[in-house]
Amino acid sequence: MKEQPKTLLQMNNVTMRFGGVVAVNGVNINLSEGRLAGIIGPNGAGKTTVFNLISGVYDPVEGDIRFRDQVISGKSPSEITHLGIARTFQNIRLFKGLNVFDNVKMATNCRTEYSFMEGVLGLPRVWRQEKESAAEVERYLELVGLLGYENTWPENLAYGLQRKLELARALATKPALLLLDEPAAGLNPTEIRELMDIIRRIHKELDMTILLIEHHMDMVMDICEELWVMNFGKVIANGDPEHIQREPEVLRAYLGS
Amino acid sequence: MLVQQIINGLSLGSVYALMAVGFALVFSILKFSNFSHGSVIMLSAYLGLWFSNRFDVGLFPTLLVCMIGGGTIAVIIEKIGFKPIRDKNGPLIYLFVSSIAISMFLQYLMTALLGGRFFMYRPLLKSSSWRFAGITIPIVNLAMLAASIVALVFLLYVLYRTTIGIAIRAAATDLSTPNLLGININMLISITFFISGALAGIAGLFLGMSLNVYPQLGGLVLKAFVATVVGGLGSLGGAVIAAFLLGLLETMITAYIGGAVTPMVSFTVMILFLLFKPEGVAGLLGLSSGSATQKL
Amino acid sequence: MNSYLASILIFTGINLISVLGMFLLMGLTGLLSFGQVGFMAIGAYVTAISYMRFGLPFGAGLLLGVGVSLLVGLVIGTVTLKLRNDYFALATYGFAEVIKNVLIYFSGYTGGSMGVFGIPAIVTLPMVIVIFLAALVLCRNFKVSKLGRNSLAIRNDELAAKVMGINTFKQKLLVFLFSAVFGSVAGSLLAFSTYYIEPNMFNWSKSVELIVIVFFGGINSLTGVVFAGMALTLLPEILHFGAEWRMVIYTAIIIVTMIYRPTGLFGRWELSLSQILGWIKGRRKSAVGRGGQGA
Ligand SMILES: Nc1ncnc2c1ncn2[C@@H]1O[C@H](COP(=O)(O)OP(=O)(O)O)[C@@H](O)[C@H]1O
Ligand SMILES: [Mg+2]
Repeated sequence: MKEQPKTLLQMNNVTMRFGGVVAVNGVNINLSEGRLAGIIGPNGAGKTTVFNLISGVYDPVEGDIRFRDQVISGKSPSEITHLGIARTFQNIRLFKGLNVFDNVKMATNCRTEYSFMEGVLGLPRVWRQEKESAAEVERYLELVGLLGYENTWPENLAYGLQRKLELARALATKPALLLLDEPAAGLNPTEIRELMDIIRRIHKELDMTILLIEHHMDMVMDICEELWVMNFGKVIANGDPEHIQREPEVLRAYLGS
Repeated sequence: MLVQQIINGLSLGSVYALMAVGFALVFSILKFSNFSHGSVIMLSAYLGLWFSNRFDVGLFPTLLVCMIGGGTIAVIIEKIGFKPIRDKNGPLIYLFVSSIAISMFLQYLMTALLGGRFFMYRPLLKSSSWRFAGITIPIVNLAMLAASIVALVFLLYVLYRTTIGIAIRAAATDLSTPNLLGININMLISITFFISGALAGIAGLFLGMSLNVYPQLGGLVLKAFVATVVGGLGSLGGAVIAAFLLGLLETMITAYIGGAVTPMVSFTVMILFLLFKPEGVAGLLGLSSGSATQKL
Repeated sequence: MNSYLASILIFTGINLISVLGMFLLMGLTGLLSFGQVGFMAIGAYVTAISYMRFGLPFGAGLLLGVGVSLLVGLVIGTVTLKLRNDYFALATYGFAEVIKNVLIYFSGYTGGSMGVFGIPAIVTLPMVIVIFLAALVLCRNFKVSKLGRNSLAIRNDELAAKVMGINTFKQKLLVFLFSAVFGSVAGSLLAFSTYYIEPNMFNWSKSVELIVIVFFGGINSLTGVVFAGMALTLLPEILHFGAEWRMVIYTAIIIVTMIYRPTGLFGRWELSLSQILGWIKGRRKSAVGRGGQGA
């Protein structure tokens, strides 16, 4: 008998409203450990809101979200990050006051153990951990292809590199689940191919479960093993890419007929 | 006695309302607390004083000059102190710091130029108080109440019945909307500052007439701030209601408990609202408002 | 040393200590506070009263002041740090005003608006220098460790900072308390170097002065802030400005800085120890080189 993969993330009947707008409407998602999965759907379908709910930016008005069987809805974003979920933002949100290196390094902060007092006193443990973090940062920068840009300010990076930096920053929290919100938006075809390779490597080598939102269909169909299709806040289809492409509801949502 | 205090309280509240509406108007489109509003009030008071003495005129010409002067000063402050920061997409806190720096600068400049002295308006009104059924009410309070109400009603008309007003309200929800309506954003911001400054001009004149003119007069903008917070961020209706309530509260406390505790009470009320009812009076009444806690 | 010069330097050093606190809070973390002066007042009064009334030694009084400041800061910070930035600024202003009013009102201990007189001048220049250098080292450690990165991240984008795993409220509270300690210590030192203290020494114009210095020097640059602190404290003393014009000039400086150089005079530039050593070495080398050529 084949071993059933464990569920990593579970959304049960989750609803989110903004005033009169029902952005997410009774969504159920069951993401197995080790998957590379995607959410697709037209603009305004509620995809980003799903990410905001998972990462704790908003609390759902109905339903609950579980991560490794622990309820995470209602927890703060930083607690959720500590539990092992990291994300990128659709509209890039890098820290302008920090250079490329420190943008990634700050994301390792959630795993450093020294206290405030140790920090200001500059005790030896601080320096040891700072050194370890620095080495990690270099690894992530190499992984996404940003070596050599350590001292650049993020706003001076080309757009494609900013997206990569967002990715490296999310990786530096060492998540078990990585959420990528339109990582290929604004990239040219060459950059998209590069990005796909990076995502595959992260999935395999770092052993992460990945959930991504994308509009580039060929990319999604190529790298994702499982898809959820959203429209008007609801999940209208779920399955592997071949199955999704044949689903009449999906065609209707996309072709608007 | 009580009736007298209520009328005095309402007229104090009406000036607070004028200040608060001007303050909230700028807040609603640029989303920062503009403390330079206080210096517009203070400078208008000096302007009215100078004008009424120099040309020996009565209340109405002085009022007109204060309004135009206040509006112009507000626009100049916007162009010098805020626009360069907006153009660079500077963070909101910079606009706030700049507004504080500007108000301090003008306050100290006036102190350095004219000294900390109090200047008194010569009487612009024929009689000084009004006696009726045993109560005495300063005429200036009645004029203040009347002028404020006229100005507020006129503002309401502008905001709801004119293209500019509709554009201002549209800009309050999203600053890029007026562009869609074909109205230049910078022009719209200037107009908003002018209206806000004109209201400050009226407030400045009446405050100057009842409290005399001195460099720290602009500090009264804190009342406007309290009223907008209690009213609910950027909600004009909430700010007006809160301003009247604040005026009444302060007058009552001063009359029955003592003036020393009045500032403490207003600040306490504000803090309590911030903590327990951050959406303010507007939230209580179901009017629209922003969020007082840090946005997520 | 000339005692007038010494007293100016003491005053500058004390000012720099509270400026450093402001740098951490407003510069690095982006929290504009008018409450710093309130903590200075607490430090000054607690230390002075415990010395004059209860015979507590200066050092112990200073620590007591720090303790009281931490307690008060904990309450104020917990209540206000969840508010929007401009509301936080106003709430801290309210806090400083309340402190001032309390000092005036409870005149039995504080001497009311007259203040406390006859405080001995225990504070010496070497003492101020040592404390300032210690504070400087703490600030530098703060800036180069994860604490500095956390703060800068919060200042830039609080939501993103939260999502990257920072407990932003805790970080802000810790910085608020830490800067309160700087303010309190500065206040204690001030009380024991000026013979008397009165509530009006802790006005909001004092807070504005600190804010001006931080913005002028650069919200990202410890070096810049120390430089600006020295320059803006010493210059008026040397040039003997009148008090009014001094504030006119201060506020004009901040307006011009905000508009034309929002990152402050020094931007992100920092002077490091290795740079200084490098210069000294370089100079020696070139001196040697020249000597060699001459021979
Ligand atoms: N913070 C918010 N306030 C109000 N409405 C929001 C907010 N966030 C999202 N929405 C609304 O929810 C709906 C879904 O948005 P979103 O999740 O961003 O869609 P997608 O990412 O699929 O394009 C949209 O109608 C959007 O306007
Ligand atoms: Mg989206």
